Amino acid sequence: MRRKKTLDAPRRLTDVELELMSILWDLGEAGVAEVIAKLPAGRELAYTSVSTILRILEGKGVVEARKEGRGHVYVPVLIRADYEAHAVKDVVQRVFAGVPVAMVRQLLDNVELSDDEVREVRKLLSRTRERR
Amino acid sequence: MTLCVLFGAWLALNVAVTAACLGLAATEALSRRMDARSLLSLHYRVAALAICCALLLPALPAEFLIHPFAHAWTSRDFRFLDDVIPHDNFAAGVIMSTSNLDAGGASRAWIAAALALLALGIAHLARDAYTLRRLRRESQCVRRIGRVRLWICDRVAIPFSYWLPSGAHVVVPASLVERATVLRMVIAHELQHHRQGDTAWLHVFRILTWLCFPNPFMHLWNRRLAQVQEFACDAAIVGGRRWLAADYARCLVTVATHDSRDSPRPRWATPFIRFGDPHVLTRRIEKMLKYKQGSMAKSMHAGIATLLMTSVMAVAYSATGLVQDPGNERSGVLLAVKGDSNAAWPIDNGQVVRSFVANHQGLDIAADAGTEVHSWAAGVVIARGSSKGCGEFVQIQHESGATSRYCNLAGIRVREGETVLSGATIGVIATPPAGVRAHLHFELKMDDRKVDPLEHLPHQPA
Repeated sequence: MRRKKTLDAPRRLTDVELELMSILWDLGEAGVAEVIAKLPAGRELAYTSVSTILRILEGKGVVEARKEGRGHVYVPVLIRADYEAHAVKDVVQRVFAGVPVAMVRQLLDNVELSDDEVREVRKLLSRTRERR
Repeated sequence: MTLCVLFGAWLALNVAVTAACLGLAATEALSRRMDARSLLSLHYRVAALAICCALLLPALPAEFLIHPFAHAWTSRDFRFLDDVIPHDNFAAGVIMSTSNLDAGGASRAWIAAALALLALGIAHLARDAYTLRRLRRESQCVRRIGRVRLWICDRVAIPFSYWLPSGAHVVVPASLVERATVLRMVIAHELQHHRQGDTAWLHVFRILTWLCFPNPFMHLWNRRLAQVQEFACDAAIVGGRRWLAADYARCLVTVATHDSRDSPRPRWATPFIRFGDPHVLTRRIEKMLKYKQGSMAKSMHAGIATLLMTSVMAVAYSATGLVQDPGNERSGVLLAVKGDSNAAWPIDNGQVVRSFVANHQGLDIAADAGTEVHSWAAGVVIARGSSKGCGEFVQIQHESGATSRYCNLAGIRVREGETVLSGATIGVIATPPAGVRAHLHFELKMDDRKVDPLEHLPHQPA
């Protein structure tokens, strides 16, 4: 089985690249046609565009391509959690001037959290405190 | 190669660039039916000619085919004014209005300016190389179309293409990848730049701009050329009938709506949209919507191109000889004598009775006593007096550095320190002692040695 690599500093993905990466993360691995099939209804992306974007992702080192038949199968190399962690750090750094509390405050003030989600957040906070 | 040759070539290049810019502007104004692709090819042909003129003309012999227009203006050129304006009032102004540039005096400023320009050029080159390196690191090559590599980059907002000796490249922003039709049009446009040779010519124009930095016409030409390149690309895309002009115009607007003024690109790249002129996009769309194929005959194109190129060549040729080497006084004098008819015979209708030989280092020209003696060339009277072997004499220092001496004079009409023109009357031939024929003894000294005056006179008097 292919071992998933974690990248030290994955390069920022554009909106459309992230969209396709999300599909690949969900599917585990996929060819161009499968990715197109998984696009939301009304999202019109040409076969060549998807193929090009997947090749760009390959160039960025976040997916690997394997020849299969006439086409390629793309496998994510970048782990979703790693990218999320990197993206959060990036947002904290760029938007909240490196102050994570400011981001949490904005999140709590502006995003409606259900009781279950609030409990989950509390659990995460207590786990973090215990770890220290 | 001396500094003067370089300076002369630089001046010829600037004159050629100015003539080319004005000529192209006049051509565009007079022949509005010329299509953008023909106009672009005319720009390139004229640029090639201007460069060739600057490189080759200074290497031509001084008297190649015809004398260039540039020469030291002297009283000979204004002789028709002698009766109108009194000689004394006329002298100073004309002598000072010489068109020969003193390259020796300007050499320090020239070297300093050249070094500053070199530093500026290197700085620009380094900045462009750095920008390109960063962009290449953040781009992915997704395709090869012939010899052209297609790169997709997140950091750029405007597509552009560039050429390097290692290969041709097209860089497209990642945001356009999901718009397949727009992407195809953009790639076709950028490939057309390579096909037309715009990307290679851009390097030539960068060097020309750098060389002609103080010349505003070069900057105007650059700006106009950038527009013509885009018009020609648009005409090729629309003329190819692969896409409708309206769809292509929509594509231009789509790309232009990106906030892309700070989009990085090297200076020697042709961008899809230029933001220097706010009306250029409107003009491009108007032009492509009104596009008509081949509205002017080929013979007409050829005629206009020939006329324009001949004019540029003639103007550039007329600029040769503007710079003379002050370190080579002898050749400077020769140029003045041979090229400009600057030198005058000291006596009209005289007869050479004794030539220049080792023991007679001058020229004896016989004429009747009282015949007027003229200055050989323009200059300043540095001595006036009399000596035992020479009788009354006048010595003149010329602009070229040569000195002339006129012996056996009487009725001297010039004072020491006075400026005289070429051919100006300085005195008359003195009455000789009995048994001796009246004559002028004329000496010419160059590089501190006496030379044969006959070699430096325009023609034998009748």
